[in-house]
Amino acid sequence: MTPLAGRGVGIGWRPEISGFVAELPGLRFVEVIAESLPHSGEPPEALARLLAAGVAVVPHGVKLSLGGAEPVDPHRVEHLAQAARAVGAPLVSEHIAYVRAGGVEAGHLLPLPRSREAVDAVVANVARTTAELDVPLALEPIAALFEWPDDELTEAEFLTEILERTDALLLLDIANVYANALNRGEDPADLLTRLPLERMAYVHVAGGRLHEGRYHDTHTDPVPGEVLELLGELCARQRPPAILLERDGHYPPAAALRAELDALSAATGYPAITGAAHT
Amino acid sequence: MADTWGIPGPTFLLLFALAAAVVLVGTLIHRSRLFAGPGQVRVDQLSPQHTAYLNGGAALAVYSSLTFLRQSGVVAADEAGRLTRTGGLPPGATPLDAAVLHAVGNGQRVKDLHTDRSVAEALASIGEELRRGGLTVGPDVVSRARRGPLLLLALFAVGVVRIIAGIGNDRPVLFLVLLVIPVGILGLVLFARKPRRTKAAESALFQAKRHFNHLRPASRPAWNTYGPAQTALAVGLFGTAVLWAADPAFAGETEIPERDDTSGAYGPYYGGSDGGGSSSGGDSGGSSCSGGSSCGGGGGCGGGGCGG
Repeated sequence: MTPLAGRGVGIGWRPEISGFVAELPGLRFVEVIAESLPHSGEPPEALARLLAAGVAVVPHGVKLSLGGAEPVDPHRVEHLAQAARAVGAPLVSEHIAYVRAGGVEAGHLLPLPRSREAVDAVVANVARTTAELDVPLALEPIAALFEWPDDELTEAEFLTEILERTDALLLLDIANVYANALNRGEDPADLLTRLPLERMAYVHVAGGRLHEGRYHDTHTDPVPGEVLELLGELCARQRPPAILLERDGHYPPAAALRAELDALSAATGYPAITGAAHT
Repeated sequence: MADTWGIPGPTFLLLFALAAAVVLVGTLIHRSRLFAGPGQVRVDQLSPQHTAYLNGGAALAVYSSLTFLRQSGVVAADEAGRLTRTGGLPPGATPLDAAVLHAVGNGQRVKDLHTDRSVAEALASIGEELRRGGLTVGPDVVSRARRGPLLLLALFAVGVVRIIAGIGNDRPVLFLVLLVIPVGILGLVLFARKPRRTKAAESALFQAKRHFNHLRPASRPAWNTYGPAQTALAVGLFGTAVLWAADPAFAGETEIPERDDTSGAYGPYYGGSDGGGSSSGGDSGGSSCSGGSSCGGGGGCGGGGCGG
């Protein structure tokens, strides 16, 4: 039984849209940026109200830098663990990426070279992290707009090896799968067959757009129909336990946001959480 | 030497203190009932403009309406800061929205919107509805609330006359003076104090600000997602800082004053019977004057000062 089994469609909780999220009648899980949670004490009131209504809250880390060559910062790990306890999280998630190196903050999630050495570094950092966590950790591969020249492993091999050696769950970003395949001229459905889908904890769906021939996973644009189709294909192979709409800016009118959530329900067969009649 | 008015000083002092205490307690109870308002008020049942009017007066109601129209895309501003109409009345518009949009079509500036006749009428009817609903304190209630303070002032006058008579009669008056002065001050203060909102409205506003906490500018709300009506409500609850956050270019061009979390007057040009002015919260409390002076019985009343 995976931690989010049957939680269906959720949405990334952000203060900017917290009033919208609070009004979703069928909502059963949200994700919250782990670094935005307070270091100690109670979660924000709006989140506390969701928790009281039985909504699961998943802290999603963005700054742990699991892919860094140096060990993860113990304070950041401790904060992630505290955040998980504060919201009674069923699991937490982080990226397979690095955000700092040699003390310099990149301010972005940067992709790793797919080398054996990088796998070892990630595995060691995940072990340091899970040692402090009371709940499972899901790892999210990030979009790669470029390839490192000396990649030893394919993306699927890289990911599978990390997940097997760490026993972590998979947080699959379906828009990333689409973006990576498109940007490399591959078939996205192909990549799905090679990923360890049985380890999926949940799936991220975000919007993006084509810009100068490359697909950018912006999180600030609508979810393209092609990504929804790919989500449908994923469900045909293995339906993920839960789906999360990630929207990080340029928030559209409530009706448009609800329509995106309903589109996720329609693509996955999970109940609509907006109160819309199920079709 | 005969007692002034045939009443001995200590007796008069005691009677005066008792009368003042009874009138004061009665006044405070009476006023707290008058200013209580209805038992249950929920601001979320009010329109954004009623909320705005309740919170910040007529001016904030106009800004709230303007926000609704702007977020609905039917109002723009030219470089000179003049408002222009760019569309028809959006769905969900109120009579005030219709009046404001009409005034915008006539080329009014923001600061002159309230002088438009139909805007003024729409504002007056919002004010009237709030009064009828027991949310704001109308002039009739204010005049009833002044009966108690008037009685205190009458007592004060009696005391003053007694002091003058006492002095003429060459009797000590110090204790009476010390008693009469606070009675006069309390009478004046209570006469002047009139809350704009009832207690029920105060608590409903407080609840609404909590309930709609996500609409505070500090959370950088996604106004596009919340839509025109909720943005207009946010202006009503948290001030024009909301419009400055949602649409800084428009707010700047039209020179809308930026105020955060307003709860009182909103600029000099909106007077009205209950528009601007201060809005002290409630009217309870008062001073802790309990009447008892130290002039009973024995020694205190010999050569010193007593009740005339």
